[in-house]
Amino acid sequence: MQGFTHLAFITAVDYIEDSQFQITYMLHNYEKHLDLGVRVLIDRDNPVMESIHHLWEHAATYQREWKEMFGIDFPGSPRVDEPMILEGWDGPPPYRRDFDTKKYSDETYFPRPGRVNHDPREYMKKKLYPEE
Amino acid sequence: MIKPKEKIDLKSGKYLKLWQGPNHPGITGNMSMELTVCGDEIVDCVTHVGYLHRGFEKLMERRTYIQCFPIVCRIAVPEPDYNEYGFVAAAEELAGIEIPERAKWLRNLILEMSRLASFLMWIGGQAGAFGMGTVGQWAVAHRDFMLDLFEELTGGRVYHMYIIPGGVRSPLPEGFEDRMEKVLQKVERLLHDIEIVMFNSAVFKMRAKDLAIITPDMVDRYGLVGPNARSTGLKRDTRKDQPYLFYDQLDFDVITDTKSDVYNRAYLRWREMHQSISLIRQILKQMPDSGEFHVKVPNVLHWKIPAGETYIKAESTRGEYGYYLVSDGSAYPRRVYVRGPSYPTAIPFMEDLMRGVSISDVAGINVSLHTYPPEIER
Repeated sequence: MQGFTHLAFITAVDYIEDSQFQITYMLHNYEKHLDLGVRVLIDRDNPVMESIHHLWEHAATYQREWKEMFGIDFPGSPRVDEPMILEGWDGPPPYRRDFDTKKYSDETYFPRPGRVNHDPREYMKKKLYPEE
Repeated sequence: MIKPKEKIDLKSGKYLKLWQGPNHPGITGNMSMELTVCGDEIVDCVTHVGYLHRGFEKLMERRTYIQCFPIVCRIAVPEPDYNEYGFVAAAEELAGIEIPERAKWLRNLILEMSRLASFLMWIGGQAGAFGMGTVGQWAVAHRDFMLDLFEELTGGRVYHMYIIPGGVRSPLPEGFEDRMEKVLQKVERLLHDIEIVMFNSAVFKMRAKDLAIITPDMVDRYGLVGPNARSTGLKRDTRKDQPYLFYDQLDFDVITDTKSDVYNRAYLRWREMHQSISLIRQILKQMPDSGEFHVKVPNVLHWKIPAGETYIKAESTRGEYGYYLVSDGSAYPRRVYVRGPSYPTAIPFMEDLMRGVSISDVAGINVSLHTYPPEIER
């Protein structure tokens, strides 16, 4: 693990069917030019992960974003409870798989009368592959 | 170099809150900095993002791979091709698609063209932030010549949607090399003029030298990449370190500097523009004139990509630009994460770097770190 000094990013993946979150840390070694992805699986019902803000300053920003978007807590990380993008949001963490963006936008916004909606899948099929 | 935080008592009458943005009339708009000033010295800076959040990463989970493709280029406005390349190359790697040689050359060409166009936009912002609006007018006009070439090649001026799964959308139009050469010569003349007007200007030197110095130890601590890291003397360039496409067959050196202040970072990028021009010429010279530029991919409506994870990165003008793609074997991506180089630069790093500088230099430092808010809040 020596030499992996660059933290490219931290991200989270929601495996809702296994009731788990995967946290990915992407590291890079500038001497040997190697990428190293570290995958950590944590419990989805009690998502708490150790903070690494003491190793990299920008880790705190990633942790703040994933606290907001996935609801994963990183105790001890600076400003982790401050909203980053979603100021004034009181819904569930929106990047989780069970947050339905379509349902949310249907409930929150209303289409103009007289507007026609196509199902994109069917519409593309008709346009691109009419013979199938 | 970074000044420690001091205790701020807003009621003491010594401090004032000042907002820079979100409607700053430069390329760095759509992001705001909440500054606390004492006199004209900044004692605290907090970056606020979220004015441009469109939730791309979430949107892509609802779309098939081919439906994701026209929206990824919207993530970074001046440099959409890196998004197309990152997303498409990640999908191709997971699906096991090999693309033809000519398509790789064409991809290499458009990536390098977009580097040059993005730098032209940046130098306008950098000069404008220090009161030299003329340079900005020249640079944006020359970027327009580049956009004409993009339009000729791809049909789009700003968003190209040129790099598609399996290759590229079209080969070079007839006579493209000559028109490209004409534009490159125009840009070279412009760069010469910029050196005289901007880099030899006493005003720019006095304001930009020794301003916002980055030391090598900050680079790893804050995750800085690209010209910001190279200007401290570190030889870090993805094109050289982990060559993708045909960068291993092209002749170029990693440009570094010894001291990273605003002036040297600007000069380093100016030299990288010359490097881009040389690379475009080399690519056009070495590119094969005939051959396949696209392989047939499976029916995109039923295109299921095998389960797996991958991370594809490329060297954009701001440094390592990457796509992390997780597929679960279905027709929809499980997760797409965009690693924009502006993210660590604009939020944690700028907040610390701004302490102790004067209000008049805030815009200049912001541009000299080369941040684009669209890629911070994907």
